[in-house]
Formats: sequence, C-alpha cells, structure tokens
Amino acid sequence: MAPGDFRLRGLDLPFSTEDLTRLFRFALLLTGDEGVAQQVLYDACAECAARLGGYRNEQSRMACILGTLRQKAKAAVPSAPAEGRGIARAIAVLPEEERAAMAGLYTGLLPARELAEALKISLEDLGRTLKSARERLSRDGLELGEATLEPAL
Amino acid sequence: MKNAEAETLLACHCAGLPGTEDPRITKAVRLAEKDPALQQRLARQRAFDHRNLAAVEQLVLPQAFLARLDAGQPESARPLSGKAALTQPVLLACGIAALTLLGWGGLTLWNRAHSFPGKDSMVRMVEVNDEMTGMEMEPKKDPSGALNDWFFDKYGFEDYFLPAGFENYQTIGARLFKQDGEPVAQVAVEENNMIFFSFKAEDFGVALPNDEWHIFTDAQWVAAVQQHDEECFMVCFRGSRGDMEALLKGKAGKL
Repeated sequence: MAPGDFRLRGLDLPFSTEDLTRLFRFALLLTGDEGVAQQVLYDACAECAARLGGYRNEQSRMACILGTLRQKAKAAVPSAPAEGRGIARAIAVLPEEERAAMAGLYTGLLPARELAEALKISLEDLGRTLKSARERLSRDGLELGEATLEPAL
Repeated sequence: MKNAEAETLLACHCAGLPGTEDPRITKAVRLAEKDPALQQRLARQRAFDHRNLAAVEQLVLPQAFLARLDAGQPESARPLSGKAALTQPVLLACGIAALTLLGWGGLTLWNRAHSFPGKDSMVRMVEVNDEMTGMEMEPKKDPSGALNDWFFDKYGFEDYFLPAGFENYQTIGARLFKQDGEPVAQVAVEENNMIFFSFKAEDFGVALPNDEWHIFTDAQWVAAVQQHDEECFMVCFRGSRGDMEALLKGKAGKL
C-alpha cells in the first residue's frame, strides 16, 4: 500500500464462499446469463459492502444484498439468455416476481418468511407466486425439452 | 388450517433446503401428508423441486469471480444520498441520540431559565392549597391591604407585604401557618379564588432581584413570586401562565 493510501483492499464482505455461491446462483437464475450474473453480483457487493456492517444479523445483511441484486438484475439487459444453462434459462424467462421468488427459494438464501419480506410480499402471496411459477416452469419445461423441468404439477 | 390455505403455503415448502421452513409451512406440510388430495400434490412438488434443486446445485461460482471480488473496491467512498443515508441504522441511532440530548438539554435550559433560589419551597407552599379544606382559615372580609395590623396583633407577624395593585382585593379568610418552622401569612381572596402568601425571603432561601415577577406552574396552579427587600409576596390561582401574565399587567413589578 502506498503511503497515504488508506483505501480498503478488497470488498471485505461478511459472506462465506458458500453464501457467495448461493448469491451467484440467485443472480444467475434472475438473469439467465453467467456474465450478466457476475456483473450484477459484483455491482451489488460493491454497493452494499459499506452498508452491510450496519446490520445486526446475517438475515438482514442477506435481505439487503438480495434486494440490491434483484434491482440490478431488473435493470440489466441479458446479453443472450438462450445460451444460459437449462435451469437458469428456464427460470430467467418467468415473470419478474415469479423469477425472484423461485430463485430465492431454490438458492435457500433466506427462510420463506424472510424471503417474502425481502420480496415485499406476504407469505401467502409468496405461496401463490411460487405455485404459479412451478406451473409455468412445468409447461415451458416441456416446450424447452428440459429434463429437469418435466411436468410435475 | 383449511385445505386452501394449506395448499397456498405448501408452495413455500422446498424439501432439501434446511432452515427455510416456517411453522405455518410445516403445519401445512403435516396437513398435506394426511390429506389424500394434497398428499399427491405434495409428492409431485417434492419430485419437481428435487430435480430442479439438483440442477441449481450444479451452478458453480467461478473462482475468477472470487478473485475479482477480493480485489474490488467498495463504493463506501461514494456518499449515500438523501433517504438512503437517513435510513442507515447507525445514522438513525445517532439521530435519535442527538434528538434525545437536544430535548434533555433544552429541558434543562428551560428549567434553569425558569428556576430561582427557593423555588422548591414556593412549590410546596402552593401545594398546601390542595391539602386544605377551607376550615383552617379564619373568616376575614376586608380589603387585602388592611390586614397588616391584624397579622401583627394576632400573630406578631411583621412581614405582611403586598405589591402595589394587590391592596384592594376583597378577602374571605386569612391565617398564619408555619412551613419548615417559618411563618407564612396566607390570605384567600374572593376574586378568581386567588391565594396570597407573604413571608420573609431569607426564611425560605428566596433571592430574587427586587420587584421582579417570577412565574411558575405546578399541576393546575400558576403562581407568581416577587421579592421586595426582605419580604416576599406570592399570588396563585388555578389557571395558566397567560392568565397570570394578564393579572400582573398593571401591577407593580417587572414581568
């Protein structure tokens, strides 16, 4: 470090590699594109890094970054969703609310109630959104020919 | 829990993700496990989620990305703007603390500005009114300014004092009582149910600039004290500070 350079080295995030992996999966399921997912996750981490220390518990920190990620993913234009991996591509074409709910559930970032709060909906609405998302995935999975999305409901 | 509610909450259930359950969801799952229709639905959902979770777990965080995060710079140098800055927990806590300190400081300053030596004794004197039944006083129907001799003849009290403007109120009763062993003349006046007190300033530690009114309130009472040389006069009645200021206008003494 050069004299007088007191900037923090690295983002110094309070997340384990496993948390970061889940966050990356969340971003990927939202955007459907690995490159875009990396960019939105990086931007969200850079934006939240300074704020995260102010939260009292891990769930609040996770809710903060999850909300920021969702906003950034909404603003990001996927470069080529069709090139994404099967599950990511299928979820990424869902309506935004269903996409966020499904991505939140499958990545296990937050317990269901906290996930509903982070998505600013009730637990019942989260249930309705997830039900609708599963039905849509089930239908569209058949059309996409995805083995993991065969009709189950 | 009804089946419709259970069906809705069942959708929030995702087997294989520990720590994601809520008590209501757990209850819905238990209910579904016993209900034939929901049982089937739950089984299909579990199978569907199981396959998709397996696919999600194949999504791996690129190591290069971890290195990029490690080398990154937080945007902490960028100041938060407006609402975002105000909603930071640390700033909120500091704001509440600052407001509390300001409030406490303001109250202390206000109390200091409205306090004076001997005020506690004056407050206790005013509170005597609430403990009285009316029988303690001797009926006395005279102009308030004419009680000097009565107090001296009856009690040997020489310090009865009224500021100019208070001599002509019609009294209904008077007495001399002792507070902390020191004599206090108390006069009840017909108009506005006012009570006058007269006493020696040094007996109660009162030290005020001459002929200056000091107003204070105590519960429903408002009182005004004035010192003139060694003597003190206090008038009180049930009312507000504004009522007292209106009364003192035109009377001797600086407001």
